[in-house]
Amino acid sequence: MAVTELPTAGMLPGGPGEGVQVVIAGEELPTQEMTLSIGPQHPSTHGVLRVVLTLDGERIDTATPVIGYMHRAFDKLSEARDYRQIIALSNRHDWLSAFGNELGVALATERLMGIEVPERAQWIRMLMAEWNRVLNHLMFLGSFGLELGAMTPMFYAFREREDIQTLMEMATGARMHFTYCRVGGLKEDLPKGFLQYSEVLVKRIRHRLLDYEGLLLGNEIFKKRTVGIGVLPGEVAKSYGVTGPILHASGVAEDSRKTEPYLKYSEVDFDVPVGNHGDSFDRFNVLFHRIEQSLKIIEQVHAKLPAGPIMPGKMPKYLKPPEGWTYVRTENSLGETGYYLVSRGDTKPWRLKMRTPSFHNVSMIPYLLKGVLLPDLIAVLGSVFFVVGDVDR
Amino acid sequence: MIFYHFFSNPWAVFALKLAAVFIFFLTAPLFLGYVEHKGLAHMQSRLGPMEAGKFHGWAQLIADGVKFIQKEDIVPDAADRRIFMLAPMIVIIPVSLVFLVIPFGPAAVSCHAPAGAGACGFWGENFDVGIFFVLAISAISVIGMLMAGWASANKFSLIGAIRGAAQLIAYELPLVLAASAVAMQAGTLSLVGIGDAQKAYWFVFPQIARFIIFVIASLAELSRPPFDMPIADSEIIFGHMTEYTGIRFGLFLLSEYAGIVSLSAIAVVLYLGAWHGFFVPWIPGPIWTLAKIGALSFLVIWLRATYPRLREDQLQKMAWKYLIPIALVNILLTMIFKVVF
Amino acid sequence: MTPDEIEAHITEATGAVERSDVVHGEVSVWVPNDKWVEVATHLRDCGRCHFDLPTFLTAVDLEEQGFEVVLHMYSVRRQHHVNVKTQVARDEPRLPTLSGVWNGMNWCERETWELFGIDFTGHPNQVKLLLPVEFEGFPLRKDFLLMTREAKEWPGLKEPAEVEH
Repeated sequence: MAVTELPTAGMLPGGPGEGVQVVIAGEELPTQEMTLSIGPQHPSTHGVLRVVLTLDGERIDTATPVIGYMHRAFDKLSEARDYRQIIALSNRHDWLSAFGNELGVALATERLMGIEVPERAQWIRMLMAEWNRVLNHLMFLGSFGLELGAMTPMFYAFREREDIQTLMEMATGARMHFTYCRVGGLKEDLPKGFLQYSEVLVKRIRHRLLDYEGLLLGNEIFKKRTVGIGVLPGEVAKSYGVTGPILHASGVAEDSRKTEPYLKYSEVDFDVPVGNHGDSFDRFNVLFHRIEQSLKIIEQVHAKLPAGPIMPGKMPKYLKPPEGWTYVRTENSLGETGYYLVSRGDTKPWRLKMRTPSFHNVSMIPYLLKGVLLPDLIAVLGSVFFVVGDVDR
Repeated sequence: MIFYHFFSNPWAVFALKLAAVFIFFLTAPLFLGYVEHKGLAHMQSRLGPMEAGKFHGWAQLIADGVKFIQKEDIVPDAADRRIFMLAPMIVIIPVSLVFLVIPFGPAAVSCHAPAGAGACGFWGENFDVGIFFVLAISAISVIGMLMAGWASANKFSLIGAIRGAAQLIAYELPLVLAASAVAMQAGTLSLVGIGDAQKAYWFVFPQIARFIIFVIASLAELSRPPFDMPIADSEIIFGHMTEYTGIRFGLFLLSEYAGIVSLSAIAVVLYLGAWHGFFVPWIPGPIWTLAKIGALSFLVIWLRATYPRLREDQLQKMAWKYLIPIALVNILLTMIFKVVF
Repeated sequence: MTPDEIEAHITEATGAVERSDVVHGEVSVWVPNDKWVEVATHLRDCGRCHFDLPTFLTAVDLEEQGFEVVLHMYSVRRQHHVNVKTQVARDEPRLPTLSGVWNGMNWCERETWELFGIDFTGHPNQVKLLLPVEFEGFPLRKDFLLMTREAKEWPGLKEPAEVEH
């Protein structure tokens, strides 16, 4: 029941005190809330997220995300796998930013073992991480448009993704789950022609980003659907543990590439785009500009990439980090991906907690969905960029 | 001589026209569907269907139709069985009836129709109240939509159907107002008469606003992007069609594309000079009509590739706050011009 | 603040720190169970700490010593981290909830509850989050055998849970 009070008795025109007072008597029509279960199989949830809504007409009263359909017990599995295997395991949960995930595991293990990663490997890691970020963001750029009913950006995004995947395939041999990181460095050096193609791609994608700008960012209907929808204040975002582009859109420029640079992020120049209002449009806009920043970083890597080995000269035969613990945070495509690693000197971790951005971002959804219209559910869900595998792990 | 006898028999003419309308009703949407497949694909840097029929997938839509017929006709357990099965027919019949009255060409000169039937030509039937008939009958589809949405016993269907009904109520008004301005200008309600009246100039030129209103309102009536909220696939799966499969779903799709053709045809007759061409007058009238219908239908497809979807309340706001007042002012202006000149 | 300063500040301000250390640039402070909420609230509200972004909450199975609950926080303004840890008993793991302190703790605690069986008293909605409702047991405890191992013994190194069985 949304209308709990009787309609206020209005005064018909006729000046103060002279009008006829209208009293609406009798009982109101009984209305009932409708429970609508969106998902787990629903076109707009990028996988198997389920959102249970109670609707009053088309207005959402409460929204409860139901997760866990893709839970595959990463934490438990990794206690039964050695560190090399965990790298392969970790790049599957957020299938859109595989390299960023495996990077975190490698960094955590290296930090515990005190391995010094060669310069060149660090630069290449950064290059791959940034390309992966572009890959990820393009996906969300396209799918957000698709969810709002504009189907063309999706195909454009996939055209660009195809190019980048070809590039990644040159170096890693895989198109989605790269498994290119190794503890200590990388699987192998970049192949011949990689950097040239990478340079070509940077130019091509930068040029094609103009298409998206025209199709979506400058589109009146798109703005009407997203501006002022799903406003997330920075304080609320922080208290939910939200990170990444969503936090930036709320005006908080917290990016561990800046505040706690890992790899070589301290040696490249880039900005963290932030939004002003924290609405769906800002989130989308931030995502768009993050691509530009990533391309900027990639260009700098092209210029600065040193020669040298990609693995340390001497590596232990078994990866046995000494007893201890560490927490490594990396700015992954969707926010902070962290690994809380506890070792007891075994070949397998004692405890590996994976902190994923999507989990925290999705936990904030009930806040955003309260009181919006059903069509805005799409504008909100699409702009809370999440990968369900990353939520459920 | 034999043709003379043939055409002087009203039943023969009737049967021929019926067959022609029916064939047009079945083929034009198929052709349009194919154009949509290919056109959208090329706008989105892909190829679209390439396999069916070898040459650029020309037989794709036929293959789709065969597939729809072969599929099992599933009726959900909880559905209201009879209404569920009836709904697609209710949607498609009004759309097909519209084609009866659309004039594709001028009246034939040597016409031996029986007295009282009016001049015969490239149309199925020349009603004196043709425009009224068209607008009235095309609104019936929404009843089928509501039936489908309610009988499916699915919440998504229901939301879609109610959105569709609300949208139709809002957009029927600007549509009728925009069309009635044309009827006033032409001085007749007959579609053939309106076509004839555009010999000197097309009705789109004096007031382009009403043509735009008509196109926007038709898009909303057809639930085509950017007004496809009733079937918004990312929110409510497929609106009232969610539970349908097989040939019944096919009928819904056919009615959507037939609807595009029919409303484009009406717009052509009302605003774009019907069969009157320009520059190359030797091209026969029906070809002009078909070309204009094609161009307008292509615009509908083009919009789908370009725009995201509006929100239901924004759509309503647009209808009641902008389109209807503009249409009313338009009628007023038309009246003044009619009286003054 | 630098890690050492944070360590000193928390020890001084809350007076509840049992022990603390700094490893790999990360501060950890161990607090008693009953001061858990108090310390967390202080860390959120204190202007010098200003931990406004709770990163995660999880637990580590310490076998016979019970569980160690880890709360990691970050301050966007001050740009520093802290790990607040506490130990709960194995036979009756219980801890007051932090879901009133940060919104984001709600899901983290639900997850920790279902995976470790640590009961967060006062939690508004302590139901299964990732696991199916009918799931029994607390999978991240070391005595819970990985299901594949239950089906077929692993020829290589044994897990702790396997050795007991």
